[in-house]
Amino acid sequence: MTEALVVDSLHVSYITQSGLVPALRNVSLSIASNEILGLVGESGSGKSTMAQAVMRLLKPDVATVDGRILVDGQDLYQLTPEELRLTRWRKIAMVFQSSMNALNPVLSIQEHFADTMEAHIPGITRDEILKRTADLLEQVRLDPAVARSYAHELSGGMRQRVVIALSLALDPSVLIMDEPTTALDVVVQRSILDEIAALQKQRQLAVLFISHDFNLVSGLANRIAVMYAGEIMEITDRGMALEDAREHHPYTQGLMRAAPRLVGTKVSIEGIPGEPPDMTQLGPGCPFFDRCPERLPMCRTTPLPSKSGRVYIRCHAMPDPVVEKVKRP
Amino acid sequence: MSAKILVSTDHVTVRFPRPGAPDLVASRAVSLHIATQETLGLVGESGSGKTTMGRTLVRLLTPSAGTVWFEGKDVTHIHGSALMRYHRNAQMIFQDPFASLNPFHTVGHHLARPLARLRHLKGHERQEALDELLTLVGLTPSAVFREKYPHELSGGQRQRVAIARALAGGPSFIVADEPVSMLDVSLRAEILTLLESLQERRGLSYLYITHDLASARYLSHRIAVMYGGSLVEIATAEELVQAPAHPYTRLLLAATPGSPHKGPLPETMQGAPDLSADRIGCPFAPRCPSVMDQCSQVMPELKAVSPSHQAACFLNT
Amino acid sequence: MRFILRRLGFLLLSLWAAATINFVLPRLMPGNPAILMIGRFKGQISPQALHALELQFGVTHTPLWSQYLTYLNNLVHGQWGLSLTYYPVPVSKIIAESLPWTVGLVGVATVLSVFIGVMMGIWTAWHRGGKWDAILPTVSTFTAALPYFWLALILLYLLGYLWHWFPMAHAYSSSLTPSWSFAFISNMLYHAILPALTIIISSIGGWLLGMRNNMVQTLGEDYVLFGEARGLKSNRLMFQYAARNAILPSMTGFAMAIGFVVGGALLTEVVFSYPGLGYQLLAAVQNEDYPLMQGLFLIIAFSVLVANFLVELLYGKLDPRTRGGASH
Repeated sequence: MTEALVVDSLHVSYITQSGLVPALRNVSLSIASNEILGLVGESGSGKSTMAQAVMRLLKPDVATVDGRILVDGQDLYQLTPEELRLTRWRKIAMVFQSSMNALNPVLSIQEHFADTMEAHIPGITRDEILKRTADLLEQVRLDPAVARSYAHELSGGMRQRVVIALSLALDPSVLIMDEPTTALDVVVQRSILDEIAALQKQRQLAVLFISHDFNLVSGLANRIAVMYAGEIMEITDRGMALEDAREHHPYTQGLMRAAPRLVGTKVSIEGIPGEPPDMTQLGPGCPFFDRCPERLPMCRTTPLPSKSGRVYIRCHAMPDPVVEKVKRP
Repeated sequence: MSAKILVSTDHVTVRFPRPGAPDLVASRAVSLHIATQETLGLVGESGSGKTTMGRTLVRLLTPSAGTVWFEGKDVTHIHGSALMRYHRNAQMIFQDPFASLNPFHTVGHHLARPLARLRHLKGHERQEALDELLTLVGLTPSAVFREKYPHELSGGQRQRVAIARALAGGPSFIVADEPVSMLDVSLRAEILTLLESLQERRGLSYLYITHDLASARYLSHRIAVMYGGSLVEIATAEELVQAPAHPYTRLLLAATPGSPHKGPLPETMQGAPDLSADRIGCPFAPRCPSVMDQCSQVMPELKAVSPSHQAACFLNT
Repeated sequence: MRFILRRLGFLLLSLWAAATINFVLPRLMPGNPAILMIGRFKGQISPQALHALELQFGVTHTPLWSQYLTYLNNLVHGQWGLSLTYYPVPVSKIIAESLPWTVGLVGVATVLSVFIGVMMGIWTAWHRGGKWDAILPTVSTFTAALPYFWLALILLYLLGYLWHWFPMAHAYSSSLTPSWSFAFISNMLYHAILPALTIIISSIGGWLLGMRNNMVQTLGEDYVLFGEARGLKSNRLMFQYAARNAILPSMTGFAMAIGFVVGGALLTEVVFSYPGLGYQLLAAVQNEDYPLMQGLFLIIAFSVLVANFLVELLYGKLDPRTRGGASH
């Protein structure tokens, strides 16, 4: 398997009035082509920063970025602005969190497709654009006539389908999806997820799927990265069955115990006591220390070990998982 | 659990007039009841009418037709001081705790007002009741939280303040409208378990409005499912999740994250239900994989599937 | 199409309302133009002459509704009465002579000010945090705060009186007669520079600041970021994604500004003795010249309404959400 996206030792800090505030710390992961990596985290964990950092969308006056982002072996942060512009969407595309606002309200859907193609394919004809747009819309099960509409004329689900179709316009190898179904009703959400899964298989896409919903991601992803306070705590390819909970990072275990179950026997739930740490006051040790039931004295002061690889657990109290063959859900 | 009915609706219909179009019927002849110390989950997607029903039950809305009963009394059209007395007994918790709190007022101020208005408490007595409320919802030490402003609280803490405020009048019935949907998973569990323990300690009845079947199953004794303004199914929580009788409930279950369902969803098309007053027949008919001729003509009545389970579908007759 | 017809209907209704108010208001005041005229002659006038004047001003003692119909009929046919100040010149003739000067000076200056201001606003917002973003908004706040007549006096004193770079008054040298010759046109432009500069300097800052702030807000929208993520070229992003959305809130202000062009930058025209409508309005007020005032008010109201109508059509073109349709 070839790695389509590699994130290597990524550090991101936001520039604020009172100095740098870390958002991502020492993040490393890689995604092979034809693989979905789910990235799960609660609000403030840095998962949306991750999407923007990987696309190199953070402006230099907004945040400092350190580390490497390799897309098909090419470091995005080494490119000139024009090279970056050409690489975006051809190699790596993105579906935004809020489809409501991702489309320009004064341009028709057709113009969005035309803009995207004209920016990357010099000399493309109007007919070719129209034909490709219709094809793409059909692939996400939309009537090609939708092209003539404006964003405000479409339902939330249709808008999100348009954005997904747009993301496929230049046949990228990597797709970042940042909470692509969050504002939608469950039935619409499920049908869009089914389409994402089908398109991903058909086009051999490497997908980074960012979500706050553990249950949703475990039904979709090959592997799941769990993020807390800007750090990846664990990358797992295990199922999320409660019986296996002990094999996961203490934070992951906490999340699993917190979510009510839809099927199986009814079990009681418990939250994780405490609150996420203040990112401006992080100590040197594990950020989960204050809330961790398994903590050791060393966890407060010893930084989490840097790890890379397909699966890992970053915890002083837990051994690394046994690497198994890659499973598909 | 006592079987005594605390609050109920009888064929409640809520219409909203629309210029140049037939009225929008947000809820259509909905009858349901909640017993003392019972939680009824009310599940549906946006536009199903679940929030309208919640607001009608605490009389933030007045139904266009039908009756709302509370402790055997008709409260459908009460107003003025009678409505204020009703609000000591029936309160509401909203989805967005931040929007429901005034940023310029402290936590203490938010709680002092209903204590004064609904329970006429003053001075020392009010202070004690306030501290007791904060302790009850887990905001301790209460002396610290009393002085805080909403922006100094986390999302979970704000929702606790909103719960404390709803409890201030000493209610027996609370409508909780998506109280955890804006919270993170780890905080969700804390609020759900808080609601659970408050029910036991205060003998509360809940209408728990949510789009999430998993949390509805967790918190509720029975679950009602609404679609397009109509109540389509109601059953004990376990029976509804394990043996759904209405095709819409089956679709909702199949689509909920964590469901073992594989393959295409059991629906024929996607779309929002028609809420206009001139619609006839079952609102789910256009999407229903088991649709029959009569479905687009007549709305089926709720019929018993089992003693603790009713569904409004011709498949069950 | 339905949108345009609806707007057009609304325009006609507003025009009619403005004309009617213009008819009613003077009749609520005591006296009539003829009596005012007598006042100007200090009462030394015979009843016969008064009657003749009344006839001339169209003052009749017929019922109000028939006066109203006559008024509307005259209005449509351009008979707006006689000016007292320039008696017996018809008001319509005075307006027709002054209008081109005002539209030429204030109109062109306003359009230039809006265009340059908006462009600079777009530019500073696009390069926000840069050198020009630090300088231009500060300077704009300063110039926007200058009273325009005061600025006119300062410019007149420095560039006209002290340094003799520009003429001090009038639209063209009195030695020339209006014609399409190069000599006349260049002389006319030369005379227009100072008053135009006054208008531009005093109003450009507002446009720059307004546009910059809207634009900065729009640049934070997801669709701009999404456009950037799609690798769109900067020009496309700057104009079609950011500026086109950012300009929408300024459109109403733009409509008002264009409408008020006809009212003239009153004091600017006065300071520079520029023969536009603003200058005439001042003269009309000073001389209690009600027919002229009425005519001027009417033309100002009409142009504000027509400008609003045109801008709304443009708005519909720029923003599909206002075009109406089933989705609302």
